Parts: sequence; C-alpha cells; structure tokens
Amino acid sequence: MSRYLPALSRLAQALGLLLAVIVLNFLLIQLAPGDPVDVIVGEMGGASEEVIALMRADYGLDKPVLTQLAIYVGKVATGDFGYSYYFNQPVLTLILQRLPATILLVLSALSIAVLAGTLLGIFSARRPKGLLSHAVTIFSLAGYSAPVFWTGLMLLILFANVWPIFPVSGMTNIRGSGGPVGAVLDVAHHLVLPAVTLATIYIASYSRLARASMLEVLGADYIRTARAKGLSERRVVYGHALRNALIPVVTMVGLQFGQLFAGAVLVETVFNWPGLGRLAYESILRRDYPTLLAILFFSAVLVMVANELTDLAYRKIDPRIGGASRRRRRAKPQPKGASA
Amino acid sequence: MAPVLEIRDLQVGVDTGREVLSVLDGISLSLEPGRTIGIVGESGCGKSMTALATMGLLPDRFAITGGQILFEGEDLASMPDRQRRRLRGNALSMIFQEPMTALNPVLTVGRQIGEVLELHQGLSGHEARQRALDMLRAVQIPAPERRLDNYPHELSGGMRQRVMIAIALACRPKLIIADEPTTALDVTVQAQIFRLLRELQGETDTAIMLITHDLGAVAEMADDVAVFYAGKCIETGPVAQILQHPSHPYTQGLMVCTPTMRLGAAALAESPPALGEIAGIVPPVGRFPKACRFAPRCPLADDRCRTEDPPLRALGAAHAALCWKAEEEAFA
Repeated sequence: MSRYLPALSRLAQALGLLLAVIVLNFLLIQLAPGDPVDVIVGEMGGASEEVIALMRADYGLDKPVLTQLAIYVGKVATGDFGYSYYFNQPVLTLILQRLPATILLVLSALSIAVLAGTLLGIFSARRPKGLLSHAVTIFSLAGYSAPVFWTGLMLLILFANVWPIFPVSGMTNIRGSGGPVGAVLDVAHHLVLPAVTLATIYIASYSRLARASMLEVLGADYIRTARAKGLSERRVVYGHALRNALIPVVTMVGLQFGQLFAGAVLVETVFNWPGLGRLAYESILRRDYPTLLAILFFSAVLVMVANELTDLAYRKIDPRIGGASRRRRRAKPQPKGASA
Repeated sequence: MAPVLEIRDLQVGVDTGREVLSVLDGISLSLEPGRTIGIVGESGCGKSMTALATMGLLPDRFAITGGQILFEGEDLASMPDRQRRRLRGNALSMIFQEPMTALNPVLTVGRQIGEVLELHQGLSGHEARQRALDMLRAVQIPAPERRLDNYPHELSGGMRQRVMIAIALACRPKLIIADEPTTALDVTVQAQIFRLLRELQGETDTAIMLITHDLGAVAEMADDVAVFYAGKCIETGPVAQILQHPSHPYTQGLMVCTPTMRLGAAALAESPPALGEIAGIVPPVGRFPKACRFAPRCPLADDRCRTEDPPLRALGAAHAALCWKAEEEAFA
C-alpha cells in the first residue's frame, strides 16, 4: 500500500488544484460586469423586465453567488458542465468536439519548436562564432520579439496572396477529400501554417536555451574526459553532451505548455482553426460562461497532464532526479530480511 | 630501455587576441616504461598544460608552438588528430583531478568504462560489460556487479576516482597521466588510491606521469621528479636526490615549505623549525622575468641571474638544475 502513497498524494494534490481552478475561475467571471442574459436580450432586440427576470430564474442567475458556485461544483463533480447559452448544446459535447483539434495543433507546434529549436541551438553551439550561430541568434531575437498574431497575419498574407501553397483557414477542405488517407493529408496540409506560426516564438526560445545549455555542457569536465577517451567529436557531442544539454530543454517544455495554450487562442482565431482556443474567444464575446469555465477547466487538466509527463521524461533523462526513490525501494527488503 | 615518452624542448603559447604569450618554454622530459615521474610546482607553473599538451587536449586558444612530444618514437605534437585519437584513451590515458565532475552524470559507470573498450578494442557491448566488471574488481570497488549499473552520483568521491582509474587502465595503456588524482580526496583515500596505482603499475609496466603540488605524494609514488616554475622545468633528477639534496633555490624553498611530522624521541629532542615560505608570488603568464624567472624571489640571486639566462647544469647522474648557483650550492 505504502508504495502507492506518493502517487495517491499527487492525485489528491491534483484534485485540490482543480477545485481551486474551478472556484477561482467561477468567482473571477462573477467579477466581470454584465451577464449572459444581458447579451441574449440584446441580441433578441430587447425584452420586458418580467421576461428578463424569468430568464435569469431559468438559468439560476437569480440565486446568491455562493449557491451558484456550490451547484456548479456539484455538477462538475458528476461530469456535468452545463449547457451552452449560445451554442445550445451540452458544454461537454462542444468541448470534446473541439479538443482534438487543439491538442493536434499544440502538440505539432511543440514538436516543431522543440525539434527545430534544439537542433538549431546545438548546431550553433558547435561553432559558436560561425555563420549559422549568428543567423540563429538573429532569427531567435526576431522570432521572440514578434507577437504571435502578427507572425500569423504575415504568414497568412504570404500564403494567401503571394505564394498560395498552404490553405490559410480551417482544418479541412469543404469539398471533402477522398478516403481516410486523403483526409489525414488534408488536415496535415491545413495544419502547416497555424503550427508553424505557433511554433515560431518557441523555436526562438528553444534554440537560445539549447545553445546556451550545450555551450555550458561542452565546457564541463566530463566532456574533457570523453575527449581523453579518444572519442570522435561527433560522439563527444551526441553521445556525451546532448543528453546533459537536453535537461533544461525538457524543463522548459513543461513550463511552456500553458503558454502554448494561450498562444493557441490567438493562432486559432487568426487561422479559423476549429479548436478550444477559438471556442474560448467566441464564448468570451458571447458571455457564454459555462463554456468558458469548462474550457479553462480542461486547459488546466491538460497543463497538469503535460507537467506530469514532463516530470516522467525528466526522470528518464536525468538519473539524479529519480535516483532517490529508486534506491529507497531497493533498500527496503533488507530490514525485512533482518527481522525474519 | 627506450623511453615511452620523451618531451623535447616543448613550447606552448596562449593567443590572447593581441599577442601570443608563452606558457611553457623549453620543457624536456623522458619517461621509461614502468617508471613514475612526479611533476611538481605551484599553480600556474605549467604542469597541467604539459599533461594536456601531451594528450592533445589543450583548451581553446592554447597551442603547441614548438618542440616534440615523442610517444614510443612518434611525435604527438605533429600527428593528425585522427591518429592521435586512436592512441588517446588506449595507449595513453589520463586521470583527472576532479572525480566529482569528471564522470558523465547521465551515463552508468559500466557504460563509461565499457565505452573505451568498444571504441579501441572493438569489443561487443556484452564483452565490454564483462571487461568493465573485471576493471571494477581490479580497482577494488566493493560489490562491483551492483556498481556497474550505478550512476556517478550514487558513488563516493574515492569510488568515483577508482572508476576514473578503471577507465584510464581499461585498455592497458603504456602511459598514464595523473593530474592531481588525489587532491580532491580524503587523506585516507589518497593513500589507498596511490597504493592501487602502484599495484596496477607493477602488473602492467605502465609509465605514470604524476602531476602534483604535494611533495609527500612525490616521495611516495615517484622514481624521478621534475620541478616546474613559471613555464620552465628548473630541476630534474631521481626522487631521493631531489628530496634530500635539492639544488635549485626554488626546490629548496619548496622543501622548507613542506611540513614534516616527527614522532617519538625526535619530537621531544628539539623544537621543530618554523615552517618556511618563499617570499613573493608566482609571476603570471606574460610577465615572466627575463633571464632567470625565479631571480626576483631568490635569496641567492645576483646581477648575472637577472641579466643572463641560467644554464642547465648537470649535478650528477640524471640530476640537473637550471641555475647559475646550483653547482656552487651542491658542492659547497
């Protein structure tokens, strides 16, 4: 039983965190002026006081805030995220429709950013005064400084007008595309621009981080040891330095996952990508509180899952992190044997 | 016997961007199989640079500017890098000063030892692992089977240095360069490491270049001694000769600076002499004095010492000092 204790306590922590996310978001939204009924009435072109009061009562908006909160938490606990005021669908259905698109976008962008950024950083670290190194530094600075929506708009203009080889809007071709293979290719084709846009800013930060980390590692004593073994420079860099240089990169992936979601809101809006980000944007405009709350909730869940995965990867890559718990487990049988 | 290593008039310089400064100036040494030479001197005298130049591992901006490093008759200094890499870690290997940082933290001990065997002797992964295990036994690490899969952070400093030695010895090198191998270790562990090195040397007839600032270590380990000062080798000779009859004033100064312990009756007989010191500081690279580099700190220096390069004077079989005064001193 005690073996599962760390996992259980982590789970309890995660649940506590989620509860805090729900409560805080709920209260934050209450602070905003206006409520959904105002918006709906506005779109209806006005209504009498009685109708408005009736609608408020219908949605439960006439109850005290804390009562509303208690009802909401209770419903979420049973998996009921309510009904969208605007889309007239259960929120959960709505979210589950949009979630895959966002996960696809965010993971693609993250993969591009980590792979391209790390490779660029490592190449430039091998010749810190070479042409590539300077080019990477300039590109990184530019990519890092440019706002993501601006990068998106520039790419949009480039590929809509000047060089139309990538679709600039949506996720699939409306006219359909024959067969499952065609469908996958179609989505991939649509994915290119949004993923690259979202990745740009992160490529910049990963290449800078990987470059600095690699330079530091290449100066370490154990790299000199590796060279003293007679290993070729290639094997020194990829066999001995790379894994050490990746440790800060992995840390950064975990930290940036949340920011990537924030970036997805802008990118999905610019490229009309049917994901959670655009849904968030739409539900903010419509004051669609149940939808917005559920989006925030699911983003929090995804970020927490990402952090757990980062933690696992971190343990895999750096034996110094996982070592303590492993040794404890190995040492355990001994006292048992002694008492027997 | 033919020397395994012969350094002839080695010059090393550092490029500061504005000028090339001399770091090592005319170092000459010779080392035969099975023997140990101790290289002593203060920090910055060029002992480590001699080691790194021999290994071909000089840091950026440092380069060999003259002389030869003959390893079994072949010049390492002019050898292409590919060829030198085949020797490095194989026929000549190095033990570094800092066992805490000199091992890769993300690779297992077995992997780090096995790697050289796979590289230089073409062993398969499995064979290399077996040999790594043998090496861990040879360096007397307890429970070697368990240690094979340990990471460096799971070992103590002394154990890590044993692993370093296992890596250095894995391919049965002709020459081991040990750069202050025990400086970072406890005194008790120092003695164990030295004993281990001597035992392994006895079995394999390896030559050892021991770099240290510890004359005690030299007395314990070395057959011959080379004393370095400000990029020059100022005195060489058999260990007993140098320790008992140091000829160069700098070597004499070093001896006075070494605390001695006297036990039993000797401790009671007379009050011990105060621990000495050498006045002044080691000149930094680029500001070495002309003529004799030790002259500004030397109690015996006269005008000639400050204006003319001192000669290398033979003071007996294999004993020589770079000093105007050495002869007079030795036979006074």
